[in-house]
Amino acid sequence: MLHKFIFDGTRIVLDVHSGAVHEVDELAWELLENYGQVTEAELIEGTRGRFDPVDVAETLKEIKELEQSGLLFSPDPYQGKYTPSNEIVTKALCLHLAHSCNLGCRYCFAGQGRFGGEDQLMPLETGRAAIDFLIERSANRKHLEIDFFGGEPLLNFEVLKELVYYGVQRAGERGKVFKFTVTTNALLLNREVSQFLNEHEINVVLSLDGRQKVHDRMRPFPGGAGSYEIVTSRIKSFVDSRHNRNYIIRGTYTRHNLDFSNDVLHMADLGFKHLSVEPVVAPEEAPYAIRREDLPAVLAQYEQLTRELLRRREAGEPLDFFHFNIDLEGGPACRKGLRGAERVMNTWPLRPMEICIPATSL
Amino acid sequence: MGKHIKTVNKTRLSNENKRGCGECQTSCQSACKTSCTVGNQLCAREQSN
Repeated sequence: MLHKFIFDGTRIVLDVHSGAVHEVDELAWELLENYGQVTEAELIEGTRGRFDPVDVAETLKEIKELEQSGLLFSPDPYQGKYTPSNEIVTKALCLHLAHSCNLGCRYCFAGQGRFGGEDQLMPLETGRAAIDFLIERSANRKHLEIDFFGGEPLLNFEVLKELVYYGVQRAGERGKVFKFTVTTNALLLNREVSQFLNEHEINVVLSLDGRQKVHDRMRPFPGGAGSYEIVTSRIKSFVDSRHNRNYIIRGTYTRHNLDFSNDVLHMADLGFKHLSVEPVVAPEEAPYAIRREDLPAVLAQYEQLTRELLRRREAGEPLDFFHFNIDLEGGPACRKGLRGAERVMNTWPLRPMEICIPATSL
Repeated sequence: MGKHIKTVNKTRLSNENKRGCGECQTSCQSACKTSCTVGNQLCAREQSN
């Protein structure tokens, strides 16, 4: 199976099952369109008068060689039948440290952090039990993940600290390695918190939507005032404190900023190097929800972003845009892709009062 | 490298017939991993080799 596409005049062919990527000329592009579906004579006949027969023969030879090498038209290793493993292993927990928030984001899928309930903070004992649960259910997996989430998890910073200490201690006892991540709106990222997160090498996802008018429209304080100024100030200090490493700025784009490539570039211009933006998750009737008719504009933004990222890279100012990170050599194996859906079931979010639900609802 | 087809990489994913080691970072549909997908992470096993 081939996936072919053209970007700014460059013809690119992905051989889906091998993962091989090829850049092809116009003749190869045309021959690949019908290769294997018609006879070779018909393929050659189809190019008559438009391409040099010598070139046609050369190209067909190249296609055949790549096919024999398993880099073109490679077979589906699962032949359309993949059976998921029955092994149930838990290797990640998403701990809702706080069902409470100090912002009032208009698109919040968590009901301003409370998930439809009361303001709650996760008790330390619940968190400790969660860590024990994860270790017990992790079988022989060594690398385990704890994601501190909310609401705003830093509203429960003391518990977060204790859970990191506890997790590191328990991991050491059981030969495991914990990777911690905290997702925060950055409001509480003061010097003490930053220092702790840095000392314990905790990955941080920082919420910022881009330009001030875009950010403030959807991420105000509960009283309605914009949060951009303080959030960008906090993030700058924090990012500086960890030498611009081990963080991702994460923005949400909506129907209100369908020119979101400008938000990515705005954040880059603020000095942030590791960026991501994602479409809002919203009920269809929400005015900020992205509609089907918006898709051409959305797709065009990714192309626009690609051009600008290439330009900056060539200018020696590379940006790390999370969603474009693909390791073509050692990256997504076929089985990993298939197991992605299984993996969702390997992650459990734990709410403050010990309610376990599968992560698919997040 | 061909004259008409230039191969950018030479990965052969379909040659893998063994199961993975299971140490991949988990993916999530939420902001806790900024929607980490299997595509944009490095293989821990290959990094350590």
